[in-house]
Amino acid sequence: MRVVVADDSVLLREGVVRLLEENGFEVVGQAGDADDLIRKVRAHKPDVAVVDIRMPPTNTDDGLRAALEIRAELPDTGVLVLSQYVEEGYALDLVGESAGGVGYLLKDRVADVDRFVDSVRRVADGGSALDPEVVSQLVGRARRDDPLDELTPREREVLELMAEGRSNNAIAEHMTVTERAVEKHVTSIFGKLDLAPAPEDHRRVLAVLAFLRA
Amino acid sequence: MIVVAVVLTSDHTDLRGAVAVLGLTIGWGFIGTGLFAWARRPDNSLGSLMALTGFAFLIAGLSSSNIPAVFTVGAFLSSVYIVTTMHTLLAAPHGRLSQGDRRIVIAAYLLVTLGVLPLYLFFDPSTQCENCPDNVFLIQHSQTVVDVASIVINLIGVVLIVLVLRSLIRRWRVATRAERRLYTPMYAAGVALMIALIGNLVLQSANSNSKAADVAFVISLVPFALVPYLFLGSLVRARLLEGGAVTRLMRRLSETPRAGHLRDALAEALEDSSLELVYWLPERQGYVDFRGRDFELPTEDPSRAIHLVAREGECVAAIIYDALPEAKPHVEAVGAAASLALMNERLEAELRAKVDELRRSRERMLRIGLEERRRLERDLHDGAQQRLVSMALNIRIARAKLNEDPLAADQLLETAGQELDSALAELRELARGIHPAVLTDRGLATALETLASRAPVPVELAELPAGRLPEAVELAAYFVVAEGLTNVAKYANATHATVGIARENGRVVVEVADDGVGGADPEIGTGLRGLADRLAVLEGRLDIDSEQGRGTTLRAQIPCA
Repeated sequence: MRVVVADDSVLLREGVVRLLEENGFEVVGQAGDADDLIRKVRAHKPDVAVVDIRMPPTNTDDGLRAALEIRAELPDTGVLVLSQYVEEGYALDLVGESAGGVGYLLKDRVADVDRFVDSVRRVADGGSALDPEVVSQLVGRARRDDPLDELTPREREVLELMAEGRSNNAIAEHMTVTERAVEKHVTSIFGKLDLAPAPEDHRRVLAVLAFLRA
Repeated sequence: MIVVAVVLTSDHTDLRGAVAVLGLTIGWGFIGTGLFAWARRPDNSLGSLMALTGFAFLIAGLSSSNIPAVFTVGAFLSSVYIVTTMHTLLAAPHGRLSQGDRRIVIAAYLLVTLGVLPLYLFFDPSTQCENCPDNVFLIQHSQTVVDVASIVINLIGVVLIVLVLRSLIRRWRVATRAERRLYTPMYAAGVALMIALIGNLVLQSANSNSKAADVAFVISLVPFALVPYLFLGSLVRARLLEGGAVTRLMRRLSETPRAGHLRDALAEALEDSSLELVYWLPERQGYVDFRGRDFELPTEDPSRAIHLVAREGECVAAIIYDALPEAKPHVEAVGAAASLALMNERLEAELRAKVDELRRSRERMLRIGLEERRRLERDLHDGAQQRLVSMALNIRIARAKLNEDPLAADQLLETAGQELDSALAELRELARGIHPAVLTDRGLATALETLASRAPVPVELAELPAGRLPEAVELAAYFVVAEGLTNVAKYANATHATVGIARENGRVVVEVADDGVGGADPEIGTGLRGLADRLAVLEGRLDIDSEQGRGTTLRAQIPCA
């Protein structure tokens, strides 16, 4: 899988590059600012770009804006944004109309190599990867007559994992249950929340996000 | 004229010429000043009382008549003028009597009319003076009745006069400076008159035909005669003051102004050193003095009167002065004359108030900043720093154990990893508290969404501005919402909150409303205070509407072109 890595901190960038290369990715380009990133993505058309949210030139959310631009221009290129902060706003902006090929993770998550690599791979494959903290913020939001109250603790856990963008298989593995059990939970959740069943993982992420956001 | 003729032709009055001249001067003195004052102030009964005194005094002169009926009426009513004088003195300067004074005056009127009646029913004047005409009221002469009645009447008279004296002295003691300035001579004359009258009555009672009593009576005529002229003097003086005040003010205003100059000019023009001048600042809905310090109007103090100066339908200033009916028209005239100067000095006062407020809020910001830094230092020290130290220790130990006990080393590294995660999480939260990056990056809408989603009650984001606002305004608005939602969570016991940010006539209005218990006190809580300071720097303001049981609405207004 071909990757472009963008981060203005050389130390972190090299770390991520090494980590990805060790796990079988081919890093085709490195960028130190947003413009450089867009140029390299256009040139290399990678499977995924791993982007730090805060980058020059303005050192605000240039990375996020570049990511949105890439998503609009090259829908086949996945974008995984790394952020210093848990901001649902960033994540929701980034996801926009489609949760396919998009990810938003806290920067610290790179330390958990396996999960990080799994997330990059998922995004490169057109799936989604949302940080568990973002998801728990969204799920934990206070609501009037909260329909989430009807979910069992188990179903709640499945909902959160689903919103992170994980497949049934991954959820089953994480919860050490059978995939069949997960499917049952998912059906029950969609029923309770009155959501139309979505066949693909990233579509159900969008459905769940739309529900959580409302 | 008739009275003069009566006196001059009298067969029984000594010193006819002197009595005629005195009667004329004194009588007409009272009548003249009384009519003058009456015309000028029809609502004040003093003028009519003085005129009445003058007529009463002239009627007393009728006792010089040789015609029995006229003589009798004159003699019978000869003391009425003394009571009307008392009445005048007690009613000065407003023309009204207090409850106690009214009783004294009524008693005195009764005494000199009905009270002296027994005297006239049983007294034959021919027993004492041979030329006196007949008493037409006479039933039968009785020396005993006359003696007893005289003593009782004189005694009651003395008591009443003493009461009047006491009342006058008390009045003087509670008089304001300005009142004293105007009415001291009149009060003094009144007191002298009362003392002379007491002397006259006491001597009369001691020896009914003594020369000394007559001397006391003549002496009493001096302060009595002065009363109308002294009153006239204070009237003229008050009127002169009115004209003079504006002239003096104009002269003072043409001088080079300095701070507080206007108050001194007004105080001098109105001759009221206690005068206070304060300015109305619509923005703060309150008064400040020329230094810009807050001022409360004295609404409870009856000795202070307030005159509001308006210009172009807008309140500009308030003049607080010695409450005195005479002063009111002067203050109004002077206030109108000075209104332009007042507008100017108000601007200055407003500026000073603003500078003052800014200085205070800067000091508070500094203090808040220092406290914030101390808190950050403590948080860093107790949190992330401790974790990092412990982590460094665990890594070193793990390294030492790497070869001999790899299992333990792995355990230690796992712990270090967990501590690292916690330290990172803490640092993240700390950084957010210092400055929310999302606000700068994505603007209010996104930042508020995060705030809303973290609140423990459902928060509806109602209206939000479409575009970006100036950074300082966005930050202030963000902190208003953050503080508002924190308070909702802490105190309101609400089920729902609404956040709205709207742009209205050059200002941004931020509102956080909840449906909780209300009753929040804006004075309590450093959070709101700090918020108000933050807003003051932007010339914004913070209002809290929190009626008990009606929820709380926090509303901030920030100027924003």
